[in-house]
Amino acid sequence: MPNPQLPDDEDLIPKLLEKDEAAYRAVVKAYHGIMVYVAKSIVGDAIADEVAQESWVSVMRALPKFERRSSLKTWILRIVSNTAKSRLRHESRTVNVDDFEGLGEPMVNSAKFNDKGHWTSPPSVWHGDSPESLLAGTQLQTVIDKALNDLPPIQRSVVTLRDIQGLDMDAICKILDVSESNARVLLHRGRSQVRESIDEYQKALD
Amino acid sequence: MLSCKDITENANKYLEKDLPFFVRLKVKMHLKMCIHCQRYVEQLQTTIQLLGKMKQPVDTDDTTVDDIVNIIKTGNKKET
Repeated sequence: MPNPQLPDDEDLIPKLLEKDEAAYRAVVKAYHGIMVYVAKSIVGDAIADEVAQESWVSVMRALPKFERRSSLKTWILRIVSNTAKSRLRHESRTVNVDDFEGLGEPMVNSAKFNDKGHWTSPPSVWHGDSPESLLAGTQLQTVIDKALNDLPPIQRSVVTLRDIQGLDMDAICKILDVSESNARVLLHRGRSQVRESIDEYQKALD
Repeated sequence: MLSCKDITENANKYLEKDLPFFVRLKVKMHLKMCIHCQRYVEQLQTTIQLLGKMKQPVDTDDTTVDDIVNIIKTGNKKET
């Protein structure tokens, strides 16, 4: 959704390059929130603010070379994503790229199917069919938050940017530097995993 | 013939209408006959809707905007 107070990229970028303070304020006000959000989805809450701040410095440094092949917003979020990923690699003991992204494990929980591909452990009946009725008076929000936190970082980012933030797949691919086919796999796995957690919670309510 | 496992692997593409015509038809036929997979697909759809109701990023207050603008102007990270 375009920010009503933010000029178009065409007008904004030259002002930023001129170090116009009003332009700085406008762009920070418009984008800092989602930058922290993207950083959180990759590195978690503790260092997300730091990553977002670091990214602003990188953004302004790199702005003269910005080729405008994407929107400014997408380009900024890409810098945040890169900064966050570097921090994650640096701080994580798991250097395995598959773990990091969540592309390594099997598509769907195969334990739920026999070798003919039939369900051994089918979905349970949920206590409500609308999101509102499912959320009302339950711990479901907490269950979903936990399910998202337990996802591999890039998988989590794809799901949160697509289903919570509503960004399109093209922007997500540019921001996270993943191919469209990988992004779709990650989205499906993330969503399936969240569904799984909700299903377990629903079973436990019985 | 598509197995239930095949259905779950294609469920996302089915919901996004991203399957070739005949595969989509086969999925629909399976769903008509299999309550488990029907539930799975409905639940996946509901999951997506639930995610849509989760917290959005918060607005940045003016103090934080000031801090960030200072960081940009000096090109230094804020000491916390």
